[in-house]
Amino acid sequence: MIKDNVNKIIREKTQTTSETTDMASLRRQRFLVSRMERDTLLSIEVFAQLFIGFTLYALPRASTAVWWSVLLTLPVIALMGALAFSVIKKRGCGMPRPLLVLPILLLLLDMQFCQLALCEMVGGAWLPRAGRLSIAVWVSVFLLLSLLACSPHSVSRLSRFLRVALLLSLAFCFFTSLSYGDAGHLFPVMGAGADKALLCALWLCGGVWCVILPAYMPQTQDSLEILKSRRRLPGLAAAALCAFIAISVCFAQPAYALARPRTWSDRMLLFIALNDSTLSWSLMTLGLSLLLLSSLTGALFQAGALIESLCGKPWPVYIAPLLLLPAGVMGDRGALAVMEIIAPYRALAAAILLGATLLWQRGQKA
Amino acid sequence: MSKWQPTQTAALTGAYRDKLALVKDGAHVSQSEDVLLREFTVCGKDAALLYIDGMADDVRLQRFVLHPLQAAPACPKGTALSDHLKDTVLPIGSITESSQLSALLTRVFSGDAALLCDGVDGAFILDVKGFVKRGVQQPVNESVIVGPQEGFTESLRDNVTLLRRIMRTPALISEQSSVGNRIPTRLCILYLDGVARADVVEEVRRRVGGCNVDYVSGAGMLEQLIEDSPMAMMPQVVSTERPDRAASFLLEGQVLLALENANEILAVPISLLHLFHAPDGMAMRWQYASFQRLVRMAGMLTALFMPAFFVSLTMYHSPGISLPLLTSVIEGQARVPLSLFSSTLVMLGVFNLINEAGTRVPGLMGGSLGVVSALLLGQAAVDADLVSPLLIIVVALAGLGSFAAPSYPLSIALRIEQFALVLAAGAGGYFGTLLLTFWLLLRVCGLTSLRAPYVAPLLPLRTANPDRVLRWPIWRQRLRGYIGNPNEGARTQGRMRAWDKHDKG
Repeated sequence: MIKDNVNKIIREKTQTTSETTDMASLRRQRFLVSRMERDTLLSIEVFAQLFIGFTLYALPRASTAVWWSVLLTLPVIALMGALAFSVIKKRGCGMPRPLLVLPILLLLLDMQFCQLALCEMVGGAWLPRAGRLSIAVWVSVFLLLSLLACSPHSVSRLSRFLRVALLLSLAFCFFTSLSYGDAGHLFPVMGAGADKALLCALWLCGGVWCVILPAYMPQTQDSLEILKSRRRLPGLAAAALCAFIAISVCFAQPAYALARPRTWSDRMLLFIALNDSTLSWSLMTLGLSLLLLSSLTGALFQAGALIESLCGKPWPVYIAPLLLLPAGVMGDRGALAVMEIIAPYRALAAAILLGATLLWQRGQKA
Repeated sequence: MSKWQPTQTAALTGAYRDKLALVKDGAHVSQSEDVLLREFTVCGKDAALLYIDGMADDVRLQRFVLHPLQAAPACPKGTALSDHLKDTVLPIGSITESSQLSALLTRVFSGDAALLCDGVDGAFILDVKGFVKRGVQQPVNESVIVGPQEGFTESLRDNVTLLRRIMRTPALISEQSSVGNRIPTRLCILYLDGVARADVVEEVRRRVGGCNVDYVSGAGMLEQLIEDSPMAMMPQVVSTERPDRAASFLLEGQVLLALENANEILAVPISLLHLFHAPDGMAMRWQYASFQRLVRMAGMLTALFMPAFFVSLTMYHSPGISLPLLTSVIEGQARVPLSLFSSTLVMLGVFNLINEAGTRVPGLMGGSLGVVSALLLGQAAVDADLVSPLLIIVVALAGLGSFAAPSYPLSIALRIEQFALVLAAGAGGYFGTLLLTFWLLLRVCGLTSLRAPYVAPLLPLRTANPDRVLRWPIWRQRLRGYIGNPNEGARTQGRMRAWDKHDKG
């Protein structure tokens, strides 16, 4: 019985026994696939923001107790997802267009965060002699070229492949570091104090705001129907759980975590510090940079789609170099300090956005 | 009006002498010595036969055209001369009528003969082609160990026949068309009726019809004229020299384009995976074919990334290298005057030079030249301390990997991208490599081939048979490719190994 069920799952997964033999169901299947891709991209973004928040803010403050701080973001993700779902269900009433400014701004903040993290990571792991700003210039050139030469759906398509690559690199490094680990590092549960752990959880919640994005992204009538029809939150909770496992289990293990490394890049590379083989080092640094880069590019194209739906004009390409502005004006440390203050309020802004949208929709219905 | 494009739009109507003058002028009979116009009488009427010496078959002309015409009985009363000639006199299989000078000239210069006759409107086109052509031989660029050994030739008719011999079904449609405004080249659009999507066939017709070019010299030129993104590095059309492979494309629902004078047939739309598949994949057991695919993919990844990773690791990320490897690199590089980045670029350049020279040198000498050059130059370069031995290994492995690509255009694309990645690695180590790789991936994911997503059925996921990265068992491949008509998506109903009670499909 079990064997038959497993066989059935495998066949369905490889689509060798698909019943899809007409255009209508084929179209529906394609929408589902496209939704799956966008959800994967969102999961990567959530993962990246949790990683950034974890290494930048939570680890130096809550030490190893941070694993349950990450755990606390799960109910927030579920709540935001549920509210976003109710917004989607009422999208037939329309959407208050001026409110779209808010997710665009939040996406710009996310992009800024990702860019700073990527520069820090690259500077720390790969190019220690290069200035952070010059790395940021390279990233901006990449974004500019992507905007000019790549199609908007490329990132979401690619995210399906990246998901596998990221998970494989994480799994590889996790298993090669198992011998260094000690489950005892998960204790004491209170770490540097329950108040600090709770504060960290609150801060981390700012990074998961993007679960509400499907409610605001432009949709066709068909894709909206498919969005409405889903009964459970798409993979995001699983992704967050995955983030939780990866971060808490992997990062709580190294003894270095207790020593509170000095710089952000040191903290981002904590896990790699244990494993000195060329392959693991290369895989892990490439994997983490890929995570940040894909999250940055994904946010860029999502913001582009929102701007297009707001103004009816395509995403202006000069926005990519504009991302350099904060670091250019305030220096990367200054920009980071400002971002650190703003970051937790992203969740609040998302909650306000959801509330305002729901109220507006209720008014329209009445 | 220029001689290049004379009175070809003219209609062949009116008096016989006027038509004859028009044809003489259009075909440049007085200037071209091989363009022959034979004048004679048929049933007491003046007639002329226009053909090209060497393009038309002399024996067929003599036996089935000239002799019957000159010995023709008088035309019975009440019967039109044209009907009499077609029905009674000419024992030729294919006779068509043409009233346009351009159409007549196109056919005559393709090897047919044109018969003009006093009292007959227009002209008869008689199929008497008999030009010199190559026989069916082994395909040169797609040789296999297991499977058929026939390859396409430069004759369109032979190529279509080779396909028909494999696909003996009326569902195989071969639509005749032509491409090229001034010197039209015959072209055939082939597809399986019902299996290929109607909109894809229509799009192929639209693109072929929209090629505004004087002459198309071969399949490669046609490919560039019809592909979606001509600026992209990756090939978006797959070409094959093998009838069995072309038949498998048809069964997947793809549309083929066969061109006169081309020994390759183009298939559209394609996905990236088609470029990774070798022709003998289906002829082998699934385990062997899958293993070979994995080896090929590992080779291609090596070709693409190995030099770039080597440059990145040694130039920028030496702390990431384990100590024994680092020592070996430093020892090898210590006596070399060039920087590692420059040496890598030079060695990749030399490798490509040897490869190109080997391709251009005729016959078996090419292969020998490649081996000798690689051995001599490599050894000499190491002895003269111009490059490190480790670099020779890296470049040789990367070169070998690029040859593992079953598609020649893909192999060239890989080598160009290999250079770009080395440059990126030289500029920014892993960071440069990562940025360029990510950008290339984004580009590839956004590409389309005849509007079909290029990386499908993987990205985006599409319903298709499981012949993707690995070649899963034949009896599990019950579906066609995602490209075909979804109503004909299933190759068979039920289990393929129907005799096997234990097979659950």
